[in-house]
Amino acid sequence: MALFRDRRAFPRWSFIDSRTLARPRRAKDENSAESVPTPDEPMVEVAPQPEPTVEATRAGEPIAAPEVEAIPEPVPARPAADVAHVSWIEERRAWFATGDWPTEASEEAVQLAATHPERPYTPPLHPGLPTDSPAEVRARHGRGFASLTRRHRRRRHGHEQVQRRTDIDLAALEAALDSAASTVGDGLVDLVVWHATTGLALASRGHVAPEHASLWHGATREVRATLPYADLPDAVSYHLVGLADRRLAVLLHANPDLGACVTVDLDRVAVNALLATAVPQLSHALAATSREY
Amino acid sequence: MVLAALDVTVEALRQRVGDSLVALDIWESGSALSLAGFGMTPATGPMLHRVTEDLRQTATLAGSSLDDYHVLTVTGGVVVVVTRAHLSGALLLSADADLGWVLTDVIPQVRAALDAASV
Repeated sequence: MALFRDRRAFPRWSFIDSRTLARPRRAKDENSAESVPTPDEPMVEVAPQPEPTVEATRAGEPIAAPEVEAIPEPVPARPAADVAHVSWIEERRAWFATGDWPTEASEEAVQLAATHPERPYTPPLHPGLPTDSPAEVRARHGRGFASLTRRHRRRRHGHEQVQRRTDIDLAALEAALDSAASTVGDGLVDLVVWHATTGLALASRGHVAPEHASLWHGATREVRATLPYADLPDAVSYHLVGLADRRLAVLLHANPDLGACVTVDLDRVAVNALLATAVPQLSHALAATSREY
Repeated sequence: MVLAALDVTVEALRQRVGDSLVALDIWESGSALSLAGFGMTPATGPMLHRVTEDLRQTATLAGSSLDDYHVLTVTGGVVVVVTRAHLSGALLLSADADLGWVLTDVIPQVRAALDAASV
C-alpha cells in the first residue's frame, strides 16, 4: 500500500494499491509478452533424469564400484536469463534507485480509488481550489438547506429578503374600523382594509366591491415604486386621490402589513379634521392589529 | 399655446402659493412633455403623468372616476398633481403646508392657471 495524493485537488489522501501503479520503464513482468514464450518459439522438453539406484550386495564380497550410467548430453534449453525469476521487491528497489517513478497516481489508480465502485470519476474541468471563497458562496446561497428547518436560529444576511410573518388580530381590526367609521361620521362612503403583501381584503365598511382592495393595493404599490424614478422623496403616511362627485379617497400605505382606503364625501367631511384625527387614529389602530412573530 | 405665457403662469403660481412652493413642473397632458417649471428634473413630469394614468385606470375599474387632482405625502413635503385637458402640473410643497388649504385654495388656483395657459 502506498499513500498518494490523488489529482482531485481535495485535501484527501487515498490509499492506492501499489500493484496498480505504473510499472517502471524497461522492467519486465513475469506475465509480460517478453517472458511468455510465443507458440512459434521451439520448446525443448527436458527429460527427467533417472535417479541413481543402489542395489544391495552380499557381505564378504568385494564391493565393486557402482556402475554409473553415462550422463546424457545436456539438451540445449532456454537461457537462464529468460526464465530466471525476478524478485518483485528487487525490481522495485532497482526502480526506486533510478529515481524514475511517477510522482502521481495513474488514471487507473485514481479510478480504483474512487469512492464509487462502478461510477467513473470525472475530473473537474478546472481542478484546484474553488475560485470563490467560502464566504462568497455562503453569502450567495445561504448557509444551506439544513438551516431552513430552524428558522429562528438562522442567521440573516443583509442581502436576503426576510419574509415577515405577521399575525393580524381580526377582532381588533374590526374594532378599529368601527372606531374610524364613528369618527368620520356620515361622510364615510366606504372603508376597506387589505393585506399589504397579497392585496386581499380583510375587513370593510360600506359598499365595497371585492376587487376594490386589490385595485387600490396595486395602485399604491405602483405609486410607491414610481416615486424614486420621478426623483421625488419616498412616499409616507397617505395619498389623497380626488374622485368624481366630490369624493376623496385616502390611501393609507405606511403600514408594512396592512393597507387601507377611506373614501369620504367632501361635502360632509372637513378635510382638516379627517386628516388630523381620523386618519392618524386609523393608522395607529392598524399598526396595533398586526404583530410580528 | 404660447410657451412664453407658461413662464408667466409659473411666476404667478409662485406668487400665489408663496414660500411653501418648493418646485413646480408643467407638462402637456397628451405627451407628458415637460414645458415649464423649476426645481424638478425632466423625469418628474412623465413619471407623475404615468402615476396619474394608473390612478385613473384604477378608479375606473373600481366603479368611480378620477377627478383632476391627487395629493401625495412624501418625505419632507407634499406633491400636488393637477391634470387638465391640455396641461398638467405638479407642485412640490413643503411639509408645513396645510392640506385643507391645498385642497380648497391651491388646487383651484392651479386649475385655473392651467386652463388659462392652455387657451
